[in-house]
Amino acid sequence: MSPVPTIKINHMDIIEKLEILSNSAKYDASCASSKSYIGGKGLKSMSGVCHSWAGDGRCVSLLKILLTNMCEYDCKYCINRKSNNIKRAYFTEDEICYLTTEFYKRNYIEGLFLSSSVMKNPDYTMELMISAVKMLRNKYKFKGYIHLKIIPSADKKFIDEAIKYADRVSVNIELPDSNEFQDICPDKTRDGIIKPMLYARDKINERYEKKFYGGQSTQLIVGATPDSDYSILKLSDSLYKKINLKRVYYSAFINVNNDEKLPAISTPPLLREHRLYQADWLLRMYKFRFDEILDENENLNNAFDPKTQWALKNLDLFPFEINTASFEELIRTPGIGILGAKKIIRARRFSKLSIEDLKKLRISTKKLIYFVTFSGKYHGIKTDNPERIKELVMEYRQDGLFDTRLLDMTEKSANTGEL
Amino acid sequence: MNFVYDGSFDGLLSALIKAAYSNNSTVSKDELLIDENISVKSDRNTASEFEKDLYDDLLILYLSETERLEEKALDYFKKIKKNGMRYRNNIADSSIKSVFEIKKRFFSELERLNGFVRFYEIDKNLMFSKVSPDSNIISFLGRHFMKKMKENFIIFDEKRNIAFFRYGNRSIIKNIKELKFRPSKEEEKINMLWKKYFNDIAIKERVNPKLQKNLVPLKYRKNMIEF
Repeated sequence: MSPVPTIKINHMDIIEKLEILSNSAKYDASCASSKSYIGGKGLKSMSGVCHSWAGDGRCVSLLKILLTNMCEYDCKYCINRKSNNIKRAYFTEDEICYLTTEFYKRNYIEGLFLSSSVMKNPDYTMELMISAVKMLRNKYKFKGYIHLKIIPSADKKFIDEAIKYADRVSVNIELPDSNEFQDICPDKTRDGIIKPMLYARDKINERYEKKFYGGQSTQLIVGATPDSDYSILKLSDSLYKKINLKRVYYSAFINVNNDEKLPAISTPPLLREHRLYQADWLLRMYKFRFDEILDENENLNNAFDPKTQWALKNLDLFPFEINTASFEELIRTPGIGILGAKKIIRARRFSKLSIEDLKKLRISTKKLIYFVTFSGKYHGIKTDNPERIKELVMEYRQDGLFDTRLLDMTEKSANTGEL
Repeated sequence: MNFVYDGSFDGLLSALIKAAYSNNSTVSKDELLIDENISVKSDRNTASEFEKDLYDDLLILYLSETERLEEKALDYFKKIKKNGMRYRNNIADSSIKSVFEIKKRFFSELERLNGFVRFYEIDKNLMFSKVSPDSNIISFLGRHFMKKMKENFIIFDEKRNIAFFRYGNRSIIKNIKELKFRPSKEEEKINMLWKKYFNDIAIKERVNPKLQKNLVPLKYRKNMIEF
């Protein structure tokens, strides 16, 4: 057992700093330490554990803090922008290590999520961040999960180090739209974001070849710019394909600054965020193409989940026969998720499945009866009119899932993604 | 006939084998009033007669402490014996499905508690935690934290009065009536920091107590200092 370094921590100081620097960090959505394989530095398969859920229903798995909220930049959407008159503070590396290790050994958290405002310049900030996680790994022998933000325009040598010490790195794109970008973030450049992402991708790939693991993610703010859901999904799709991101996080725009350059909304578009997470799962887990889900400049439907929206547009493909449909067909059926499809395939090896059997398997049949047959038997309404089916599914929605329950599920399905 | 076992897992396995070979038999921990009771000796070697997956299923069923678990175990065992190991997948069969769901509940509680367990420091390099789970999951919990933590620890299941002790690479589970420790001096400060952090990170525009309640059921909250 390595001796734990003793450091002097001023209790009153650290309470106040924690308040300031966790409040400044909490708007970042990319907190869930995902179930990806992390090995190498952190403990593999230890990630993805939720230790608690905060009052807003978001999973608490990491100590999410900023190194500092002292910022040189003035991005219009950001609570920490230079022109805001708020309390400012910074953590020393000892304080970061102290909080992380003390919380970790009590099983409050799975690890550290460290981000920062831009103090002086990107390189200066990155150097301090790296120094803190380096100390955590080397001096404190910390084995938990570390997610480290990369500050846009940071020098390559810091990205190398970040990837070496962290399980996950991320550069936040924040605004999907490049036209509005410069207006809203006068101090950042689009290049300063994309270049580090590409560099991190190549470095992570090199490490994969040497059997180290790591990953990269990003965050998009939804509703601050006029982008359609189509263009957001298109962007996500190219991020997954071209930069090998593990996750894209969507964060409903919260109007913290009432800036005239941004939409004057009073409540964040949570349902839209929820629909985007659902569509994102269709991209990653259900093998949908982004242009199957939406047509150009189209938005996701408030009334239906994206898979139902797709199925209603493609009724000519349906119904599928539940006893013979392939796994790929089953997961494209509204009402059947990946787990449900696996259950169906397991169970139908033994006998032909009827609608009652599906109920026994605890798969809700309310929605899927319009899209499948059971040994040739169709339980939905026979009609060639897609509008009629739409109405019926809609009726189900109204007495079924909608409203508060749907909003309740926002976070949950962002985690599980079952549709 | 009713086969009576001693309450141990080996005992249960021994009784299952006896009961499966005779018709209309049952298995129970206590003698039944209106039946012929045969007490079964617990035999450690019985375990080797079970295939690994079946053994694991029955162990989880036993640890789940579900009501009428003997009946469920016997049904399950007979079905698998008759139809082969492949039949474990036939979740359209109600006996199979019921074990399937018990397993699911067991592991989802385990996964939850892997996150919800809260340790406090009683001495340098010694942590303590109290739990009261629905299923008897302490050995699984202990193993999880042996991988995760470098500190020594004790996890006390106050519902079953058993404790998992970890010292270095060694561990042991013991019956114990009561375990109480005074937290270290540092503890109060860290608790305060954690509670402060926990309250601060909720975004007020998104507050949703109903969702929070679904995610952290009330029964687990008494051992979580942030609630």
